Amino acid sequence: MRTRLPAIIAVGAALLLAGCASASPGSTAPATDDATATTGGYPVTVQNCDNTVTVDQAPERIVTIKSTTTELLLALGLGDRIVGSAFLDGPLPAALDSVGADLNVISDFVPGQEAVLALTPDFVYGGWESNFSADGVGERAALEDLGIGSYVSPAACKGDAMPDPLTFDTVFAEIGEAGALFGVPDAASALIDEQEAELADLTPVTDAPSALWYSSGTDTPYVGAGIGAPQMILDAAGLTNIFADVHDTWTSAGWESVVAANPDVIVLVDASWNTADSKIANLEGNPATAGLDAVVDQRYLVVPFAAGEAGIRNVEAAGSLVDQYAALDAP
Amino acid sequence: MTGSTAQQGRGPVAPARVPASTGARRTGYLFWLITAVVALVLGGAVAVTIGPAEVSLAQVWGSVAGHLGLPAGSTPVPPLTDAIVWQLRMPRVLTAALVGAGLALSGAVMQSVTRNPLADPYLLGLSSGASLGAVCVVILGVGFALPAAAFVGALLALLATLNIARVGGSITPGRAVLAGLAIAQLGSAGTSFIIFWAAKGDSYREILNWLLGSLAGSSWSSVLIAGVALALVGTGILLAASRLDAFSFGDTTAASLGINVNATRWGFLVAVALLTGAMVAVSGAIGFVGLILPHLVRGLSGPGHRRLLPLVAVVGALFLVVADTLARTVFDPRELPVGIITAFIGVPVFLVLIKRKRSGAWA
Amino acid sequence: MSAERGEAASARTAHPRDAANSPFGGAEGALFRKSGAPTVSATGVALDGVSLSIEGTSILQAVSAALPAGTVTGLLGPNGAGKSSLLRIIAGIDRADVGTVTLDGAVVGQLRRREAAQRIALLEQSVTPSVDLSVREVVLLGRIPHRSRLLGSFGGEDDLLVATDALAMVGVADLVDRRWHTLSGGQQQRVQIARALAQRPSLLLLDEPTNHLDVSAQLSLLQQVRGLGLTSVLALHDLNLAAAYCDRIVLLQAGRLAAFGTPAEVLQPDLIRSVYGVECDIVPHPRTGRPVIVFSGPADDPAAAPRDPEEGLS
Repeated sequence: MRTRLPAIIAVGAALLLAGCASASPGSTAPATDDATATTGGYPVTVQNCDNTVTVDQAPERIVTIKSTTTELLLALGLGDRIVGSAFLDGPLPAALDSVGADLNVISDFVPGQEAVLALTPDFVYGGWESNFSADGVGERAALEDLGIGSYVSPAACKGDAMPDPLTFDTVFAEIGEAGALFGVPDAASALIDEQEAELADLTPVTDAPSALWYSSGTDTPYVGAGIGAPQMILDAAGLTNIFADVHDTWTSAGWESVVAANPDVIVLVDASWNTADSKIANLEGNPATAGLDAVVDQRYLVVPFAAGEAGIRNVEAAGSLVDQYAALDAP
Repeated sequence: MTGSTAQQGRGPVAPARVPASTGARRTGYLFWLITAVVALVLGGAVAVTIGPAEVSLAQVWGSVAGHLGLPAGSTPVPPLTDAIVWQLRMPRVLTAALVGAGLALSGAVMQSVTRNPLADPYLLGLSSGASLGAVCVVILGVGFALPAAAFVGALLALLATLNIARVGGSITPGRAVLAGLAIAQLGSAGTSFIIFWAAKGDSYREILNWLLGSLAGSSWSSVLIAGVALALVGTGILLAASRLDAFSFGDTTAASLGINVNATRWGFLVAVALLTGAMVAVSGAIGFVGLILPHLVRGLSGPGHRRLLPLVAVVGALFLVVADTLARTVFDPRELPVGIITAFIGVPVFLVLIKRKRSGAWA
Repeated sequence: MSAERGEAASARTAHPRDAANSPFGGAEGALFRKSGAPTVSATGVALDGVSLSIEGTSILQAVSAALPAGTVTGLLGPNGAGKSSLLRIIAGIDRADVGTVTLDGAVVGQLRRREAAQRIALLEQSVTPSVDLSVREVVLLGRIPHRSRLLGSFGGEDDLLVATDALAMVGVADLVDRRWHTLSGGQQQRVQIARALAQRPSLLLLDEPTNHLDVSAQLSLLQQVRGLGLTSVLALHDLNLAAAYCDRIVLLQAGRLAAFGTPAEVLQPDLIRSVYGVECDIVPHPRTGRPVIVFSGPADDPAAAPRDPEEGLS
């Protein structure tokens, strides 16, 4: 008789918790796989990095982590719905300067859960999956229990959900999903059309010159590899990635491979914490790489860090690479 | 045994003939030493010919011989290939050998001075201090100062450790180990804090590579640093090797043999700090070399430090050359930090050693 | 041989228990107190008012004794009496706060480390250390005090001869290639003594050399030490071993000299009771005539009390 009491309490507690859980928005999920974005739309359900995200109404208080997500929302005209941003990778592009003028940047790094909750958000849009950790903004399940929806940029999903390879279709699909989730499908379509047109207008470099995508690292360079954003951008620009056969998004390589490949140009990722100039200094200072054609002839192309991750600036980056390449050969 | 009982009570007897096995024992040691040296030279030569880039043997020889002023043969070597061989591979293999020798030597000395078979060169907080120094300069963006910062960090950590461990001028092994643990934890915490505070984007990758130890940044200046440190400090240690034997019986015995226990101990610890500091400055804190190789080599070298130390240095060099070659070729074109390889090789070997240990010397 | 020594020893004047009456105090001590250049004459070991305190606790107080050259002296006393500390001071490893130790006329505290090690060999209480050396290497350690000045090298042909000699002197020459940790306790002790002998000392100091040894090993070890003819000081626990093998006995109690003299003089029941707190009787050894102590029990045990109430009252 006595032993049944704990069991009864346990069952009761479980029912109670289930009841609470079902009371929070976001879990009454109809099982649709695709983003259902009927006109006027809600509820919207998407599959996102092994999670199911369901939004019943347009989020009004959004926190964005990293530049890619922030810039996407600004480009969709949702700047007034962003209550806070963090962990930005660089300044906003010129086109978004005016709409992003009032951006509330709460931290240069991933903020803690309380700091985010202090903004009373109803949605968090993260650029990396790791942003949603217990010592970051909080785990996605925990946020959901508090009634806060979450969404990770699909290009950054790890595990099975990782795009292999990343293509512009994936990037554009994210714009579409974001449009559905945040209730601005028209703005999203317009943005996608704009990007597709820009992409179509690109005249890639002819002759497929080889390129190194040099992100960071002095002794051991961290370079763009075969299936991530760097590869996608280089392909669009008509450049051949010397590490295209490495099955990873980015990878640590050895200088010997770089020297052996002797790339025609070197794409330098420019970040405030790791500038293009410092990378040039490193290349020139290393006696092995100082002899590379690209170093001797100063054939460098520069890409801002934020533009090097999957987002709305990738097309522009590809175009910039084409233009910079042409400028190299100009008299 | 029966011989000794028969001689009891009869006072001094005529000096016994020197047993013939002395010669055989010496040959055994010399055999291992020569084998190790030959293996090192051969291994190093092979390592220079291996790499992600396609470089033919003729080109390797052409490049090396050209720089050394030896007859180079007729194949002209393109400048970039020459750069690969002479600016990347040669310094890297040489640095690996020097660092391996230095770390193994430091580990053996540390184990004897602290009479602790689990001691490694980083015991007295050296690697944590070096890491802290290195992380600071990486974060501040002055990466070129990394070797100096790491070296200074190591020495400061040692000073802190020894000052904590010192009571009235004498340092006991036990206290030194405890103080070293404390300083190591402090350094670790400091390093983690700085990473947390300041590491943006992918700069943490570079720090991680350094913390795990990597020979990827080896240049001729690292060869110089490691070489000078090994030549100066290593020679000093080798000359004083027999005093380490005196320590095996404890401080009192060492003192009764006329050895200045404090000064000698300080001297060895400072020597290890200098040697390790230089190695860490050049390649980060590569683990397991200093911990495991002395145990491996003791079985081959026979007893006594005058045999152990030279052999452990040569075997250490060989070990790290092999490990580093694996690190840069196994996942070609990706590079593993060499500290991962030394752990993967070192730990199983260590386990085998523990299981096989018949002699009870360290057990 | 031992009987002769015993008789010769008892013929000498017993040193009074009161340490204040040191024969080496004042002008009389001038003969033995030569500071400065050591002399070659083997005058033995002279302790003169040796005192030591560590962090306020007094370890030794005004210990004085004259140990003639070539004799074996037993250092006795309960645990904590200061035996090890005294040996370390005699060896020159520690410095006494007050008083001096003189060996063959030279003040030990003023000798340089190397010189002291060339004259005095100390074997501490055997701890079982992780020692990975061959017997040859262990004995060669004893040549360290004689190492070459420039490079500090030792172990050449000459040193090897000395080492082999030393091993032969204690009868373990056949163990020379064995590894240290494969030896038995008795063998290890002998090899340690060989190491001490390799130092070619004038003074041999052994701190409880017979601990952990079985009775046959104990007896043969002490027999061997006697046979060496060196001035020796042995810290011992076993009163009977001391009585059998020592020419003199220094009896310490709580850092003070309780008695100094031949075994017959020092090993008296009332003295043993006051120092050790045990009741005993002294009987002569049936073969050697040296005193043998027969214990009855702890001092407060009524069953152990002496039968005659007049004896044993101190």
